[in-house]
Amino acid sequence: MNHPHESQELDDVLGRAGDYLMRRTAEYRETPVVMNVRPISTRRGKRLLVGTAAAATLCVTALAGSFIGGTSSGKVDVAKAAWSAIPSAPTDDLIKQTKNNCHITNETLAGYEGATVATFPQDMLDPALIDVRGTTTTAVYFTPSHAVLCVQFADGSVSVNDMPMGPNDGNDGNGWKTPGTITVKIDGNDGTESFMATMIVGYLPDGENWDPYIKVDGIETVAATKSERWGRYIAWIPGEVSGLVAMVNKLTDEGFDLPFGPEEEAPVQLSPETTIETKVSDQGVVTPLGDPATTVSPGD
Amino acid sequence: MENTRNHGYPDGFDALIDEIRSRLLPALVSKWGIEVGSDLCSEVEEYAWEYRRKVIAMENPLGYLYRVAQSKSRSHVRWMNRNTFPSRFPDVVHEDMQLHDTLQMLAGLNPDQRVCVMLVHAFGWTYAEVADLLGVTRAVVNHHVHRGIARLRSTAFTDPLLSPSTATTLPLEEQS
Repeated sequence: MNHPHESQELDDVLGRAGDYLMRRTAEYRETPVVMNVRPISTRRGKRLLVGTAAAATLCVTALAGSFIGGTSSGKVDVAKAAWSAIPSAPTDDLIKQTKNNCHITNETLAGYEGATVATFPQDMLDPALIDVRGTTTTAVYFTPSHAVLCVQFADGSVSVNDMPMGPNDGNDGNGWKTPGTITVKIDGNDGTESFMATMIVGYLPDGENWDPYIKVDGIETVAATKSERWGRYIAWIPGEVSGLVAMVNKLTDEGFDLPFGPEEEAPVQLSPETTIETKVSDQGVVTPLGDPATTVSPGD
Repeated sequence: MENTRNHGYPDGFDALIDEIRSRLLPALVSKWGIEVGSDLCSEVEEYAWEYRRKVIAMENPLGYLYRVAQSKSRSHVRWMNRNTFPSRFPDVVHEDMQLHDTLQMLAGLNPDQRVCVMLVHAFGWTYAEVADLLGVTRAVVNHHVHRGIARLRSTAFTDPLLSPSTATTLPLEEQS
């Protein structure tokens, strides 16, 4: 016979499962899901409503978490970094904070080109793509030969990695290149478990209105963040995964799939030690510590 | 002659759409997963609009629309070979391990068990309401709920230290 507390525990977790499914359904449908208002006369009914309210609070907290940043609070609790299958739109504040924290300069990008000094156009010093999933923001910069991925966690700490990515010269015979992936290992703090993530960056096909989606067995479809101006997209998925990038044309319903798989090289380590310490003055000027010569104004 | 009865829907189609989204959608998502369930809901809404007079006049419109969804699911599941209820939930694995494990175990239940367990234990429906929606008897709902819950308990809450001889933790592949 089962203990009453087991039944209660199972009911509670099933309630959370229901809340989770409806929250994700609302995101998928891009409409609020209306929970049926029913007479509250039973314990289950009360728990259902409380659970719904809790889910709404969690959702707001997750969204608020995306906007935290700009200053470092030291340790990064990356094990709690949230992820979502559908990215949210970055706010202007988040874009500024990401730029400030990633601190990508001419010298940074020159390093990826094997040069010590280079001057890049201003639009290459701005993120070409900003992918916001839960509390994790990934800003992508492009040089002529590399994609530079700056992953910012909830507290504003960042880790920068790169992957080779030249111009889209259609060298695989299809007019676009197969997607590139980079596998990263994200460290947890204070002994918490680390986890793997696969970051996928690729090219959009020629023309407009193409939407890239990532399909991996057992996971709901992941929407990528795209930039039609740059003709590229970014998405990341927890785990070392392989699957398909499905391109769908919104207007014509055309589509095709491109396979991707984990890279063969050893995963890159994303560890909290890469935190960039910053100081914010009374005037709101953010200054990266350790590089006192560089000052970035929030208005930049 | 046109039937103008609106069983339970004095406000007409808008009230029916509200019912579809608040009552039918959780059932569809529980059975077919977030994506296919949501898409089926949209198709059912279109169907309900097209045949609104007939549907509103029915005694059990949600039950009828559930059958419509069941018919339409074949194109998604058989022909398009879409994933239904996902078996991996990476967005919660680091936030709520218990929820993650439960979702994985729900994925291992058969769809009818899953929809009955979720409607009764997660969404607070009565057995009679579930029976009406699915078009089955209460005894069948009772059977699905108890089989489903027993399976969840056998994998979720068996403490091997307390009952080592009865621990029946099954790999997910074997469950499905």
